[in-house]
Amino acid sequence: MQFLDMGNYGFYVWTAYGVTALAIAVEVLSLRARLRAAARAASGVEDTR
Amino acid sequence: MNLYRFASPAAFYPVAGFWMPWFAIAAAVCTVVGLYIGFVVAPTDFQQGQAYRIIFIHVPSAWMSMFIWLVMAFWSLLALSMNTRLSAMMAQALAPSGAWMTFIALWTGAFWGRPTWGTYWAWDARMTSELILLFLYFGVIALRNAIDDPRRADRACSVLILVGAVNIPIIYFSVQWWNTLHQGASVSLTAAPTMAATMLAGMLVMSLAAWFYTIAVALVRVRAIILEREQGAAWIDAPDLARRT
Amino acid sequence: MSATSHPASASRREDADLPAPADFGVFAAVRWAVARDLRIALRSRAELAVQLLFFVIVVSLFPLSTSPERQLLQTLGPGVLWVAALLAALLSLPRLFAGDLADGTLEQIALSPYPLPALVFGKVLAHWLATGLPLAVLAPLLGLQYALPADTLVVLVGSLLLGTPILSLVGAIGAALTLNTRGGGGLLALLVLPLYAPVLIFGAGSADALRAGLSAAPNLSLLGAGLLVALVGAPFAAAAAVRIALD
Repeated sequence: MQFLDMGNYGFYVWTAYGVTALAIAVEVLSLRARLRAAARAASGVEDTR
Repeated sequence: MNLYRFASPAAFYPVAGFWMPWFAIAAAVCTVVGLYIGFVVAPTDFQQGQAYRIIFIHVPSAWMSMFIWLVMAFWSLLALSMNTRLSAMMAQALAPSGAWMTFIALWTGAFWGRPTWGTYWAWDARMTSELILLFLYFGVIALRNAIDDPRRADRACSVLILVGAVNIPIIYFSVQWWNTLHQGASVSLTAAPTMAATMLAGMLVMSLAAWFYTIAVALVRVRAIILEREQGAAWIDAPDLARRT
Repeated sequence: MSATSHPASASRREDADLPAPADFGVFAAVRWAVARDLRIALRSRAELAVQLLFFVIVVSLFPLSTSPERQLLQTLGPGVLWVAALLAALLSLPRLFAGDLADGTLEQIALSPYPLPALVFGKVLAHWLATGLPLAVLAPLLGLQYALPADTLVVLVGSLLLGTPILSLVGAIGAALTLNTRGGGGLLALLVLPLYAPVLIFGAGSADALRAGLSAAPNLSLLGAGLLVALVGAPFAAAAAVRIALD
């Protein structure tokens, strides 16, 4: 608990780290979707969805 | 060994695929080690308390945001002078990473500034330059999206990136100039004068993590770009791709 | 707009005949491009007037958005004039190459034996004479709206004379890059406005320095240095961008 509190600066520290983690997650997930779509299109497989 | 062999997208595609996981793993390991040093080993700063721990993502992302433009400029110069397709693709693959890094640097800067300087945003030279850098990244991405012919987009973006590379130092200098003229209006933002060795170590390890992460992401993105642009090319092993998707 | 309704576009192509190849020099190219673009600009005086009016209106609206208090206006004045000059330049930039691209003149120019950077420089010079220079001339009048003292007005005009050519030069790169794209004016603004930041800072800063009791000379020197850099670099970058757009 003391760790999460960060000496009363918890809000700032965890917002900064949280948004960074979120940004990385968005980038990685959107990139994975993009690579898959590109691979699907390049392999000539019809979109079955 | 002939390095030029890898200048063709077809040859680079499997190479990028092979190296990507290693850089991703290295990024993960460095992040874990860096955060361990940053949150467990490094002591509390006597001036800023725990709030300074944002430094472990703020400084690496700020460094990366500027460094990525430099790397993009290098690839653009290569693309324009040697007319190689892969180097323009590398610049294209790095632009979104640069924008993300700039965004992270701005965001973490704001949430570090609030507890330490009492404000989310100050018109400090570094913050203002970083904001303009973000606009420049958006400009490159938008120009790319506005041109249908990828080869034309390659060269147009290369010119823009090089113009930006010349301008970024001028922008930084001008903002600093403006800042000193209006000293009274803004907060004077100076970093903590002394830094414990463990803090520095944590920051450097996190910087390595940012490097590896950027390389891994750029490799994946360049693979996607190659596939998008080389659809129907003879080298693409369509059955193999179909099996994997 | 059709050719019959617009005299300027009807005779655009006739203007495109390049001078006889007596010498393929830089100066001949610049002279020819300036003369031709100025002739075209003078034919569409109405458009030039609209740009100037835009500048005047933007500047005149600012006091309405804050307050008519003299001290505040004196603080805001130089900055407002400079931001309005940036926007006015942005408004006129798309026409720098778009007309020539549409009627094929640009291709003809690029294929001519004259050095393309020199021709582009001539076009930029004409653009500045038609749009930037009038702004600088008009600035003192608008400065009076903001109760700016005489010495500030002088510095302001000087900074505009040094700074607006940079806007045209750097803007030409953006205008050439956005030719044949889907982005339109918004894209041009996104590309060019961040690059304009130093011009804005040194331009508005020159008058600010004076108000703070300092000399305006450093700011003006920096603007002059920026102008030299832009003069050396921008025509080549814009010419490269024109060639890319014509591919």
